[in-house]
Amino acid sequence: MSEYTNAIEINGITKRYDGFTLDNVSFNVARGSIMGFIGQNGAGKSTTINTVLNIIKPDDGDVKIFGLDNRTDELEIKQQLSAVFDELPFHDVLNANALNNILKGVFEGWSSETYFEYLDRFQLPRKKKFGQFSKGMKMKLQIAAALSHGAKLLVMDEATTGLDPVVRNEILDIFLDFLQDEDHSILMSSHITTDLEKVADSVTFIDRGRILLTGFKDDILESHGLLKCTRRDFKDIEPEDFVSARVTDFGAEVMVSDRRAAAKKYGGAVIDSATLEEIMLFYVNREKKEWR
Amino acid sequence: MRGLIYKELYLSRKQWIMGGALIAGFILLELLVMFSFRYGNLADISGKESSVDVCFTLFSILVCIAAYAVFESDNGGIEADFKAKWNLYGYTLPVSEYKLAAVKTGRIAAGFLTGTAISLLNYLVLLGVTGRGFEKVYIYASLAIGLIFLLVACIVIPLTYRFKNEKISYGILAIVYAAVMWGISSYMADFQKKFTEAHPDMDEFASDEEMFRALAADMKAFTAHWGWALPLMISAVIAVSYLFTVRMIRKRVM
Repeated sequence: MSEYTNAIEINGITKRYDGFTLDNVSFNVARGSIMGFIGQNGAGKSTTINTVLNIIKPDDGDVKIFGLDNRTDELEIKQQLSAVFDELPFHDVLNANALNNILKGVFEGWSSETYFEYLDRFQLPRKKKFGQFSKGMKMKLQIAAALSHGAKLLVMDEATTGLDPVVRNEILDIFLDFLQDEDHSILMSSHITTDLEKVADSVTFIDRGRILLTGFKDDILESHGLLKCTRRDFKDIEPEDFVSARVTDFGAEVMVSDRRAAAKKYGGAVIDSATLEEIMLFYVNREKKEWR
Repeated sequence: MRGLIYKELYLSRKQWIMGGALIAGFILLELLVMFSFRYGNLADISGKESSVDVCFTLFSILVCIAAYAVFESDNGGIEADFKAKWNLYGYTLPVSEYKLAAVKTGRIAAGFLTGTAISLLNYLVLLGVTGRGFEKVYIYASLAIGLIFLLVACIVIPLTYRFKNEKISYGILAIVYAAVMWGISSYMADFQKKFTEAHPDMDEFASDEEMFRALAADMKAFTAHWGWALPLMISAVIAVSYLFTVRMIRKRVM
């Protein structure tokens, strides 16, 4: 297990549902990195993550985790993997002490000491029932449980959705702490791109079941740019030079995927940096009528 | 697996404590009644023996039913797992489907043993209070009740994994129950018809009594001939239930 270079390797996974297909999805999560998995609701993020976790069986393709097959070596992988969901998957009548007793009997590497340290750090009560926890407390509890059995890989599905910015920041700091160990990796799906902009090393965009873009975050941010020009100037821009454009009465905003080349070709045009959110919007909307 | 067993125990503890307290209260009540038959106000009533008989049977059967109902049924446990999204989380744990299913089936089997122990204890208490002799029939009756609960649970568990809803499972069980009852009543009607045809001269009451005696003899003969198959059938039902549960968990119903 120590010889792998990618914590996760997803190779051409396809899953067909009535009205939705996860279509030939492939990407890798490098060991020691955070991969942000971005897409709008219904884009296929959860289906992909559930396939990685072997909760959904793909019609085609395979997933390797730590270099092992996620189906045949499932139990070995899951000793070293933690999943965090958008909702607390524990019964409302349980409390933190009871959860400790449950999970220490499940994970070989469970450390009650680590778990209670996290509870203290997050100021979570030990005897209060989970049903009385706030959304933020529930998420912190899930993370405390996820980080207490020596997992090398965190897989998170919309873990920061619905949390206030303070709690989100706190949680993002914990992820950065977790990544101090170079063996640790995170796959984190979210549609809150600002979170991923803060912590992710690489990002993958998914839309309607297909991967639009995958790569290092800095490379993507560096290569993409928002070219701003008048409507008349927009007519001179060749369609193959941009992803999509938003044209209004006041001018045009054009997303280019090769900023340097565009700057050279259209000298004088203003090309601003684009955020992950803008990149996502321009990719996702490129087939809409209002966009060009 | 230890952790999952702990979870089952933890989530069931309230139901078990409350149910256990209720059964203990009932046993206390039966003791008072039985002591009263022996030493108190009821000791002098006319027809005391038959009243003691009725109470003895009633108390032993009621405690038995209550014990199995409290300890041997899942009582919404699987449905609660689905509602809490525990099942989804369970699929991410390093635990095989066989173990996940074994915990649920094992809990029911443990409930069967607990219910049997309580029923037996209650029977011994009743024997001690009344001073009556040991009769195997009470043990058989108690085991039969326990096995009915066991079979119900064996049907309900995999169905609840399939439908995520205990009401649907019990609805299907009700159909099975109706079919079984229809079969039994058809058999009884047929037996009665044949018996009446064979004994046209018997008056109504004598006929009924004779018929039940003949039916009991028939059942005894059937049990003597096929009784060995019963443990096999029960084992088969538990095994099928377990394997079907494993299959449902493998399907990753969410």
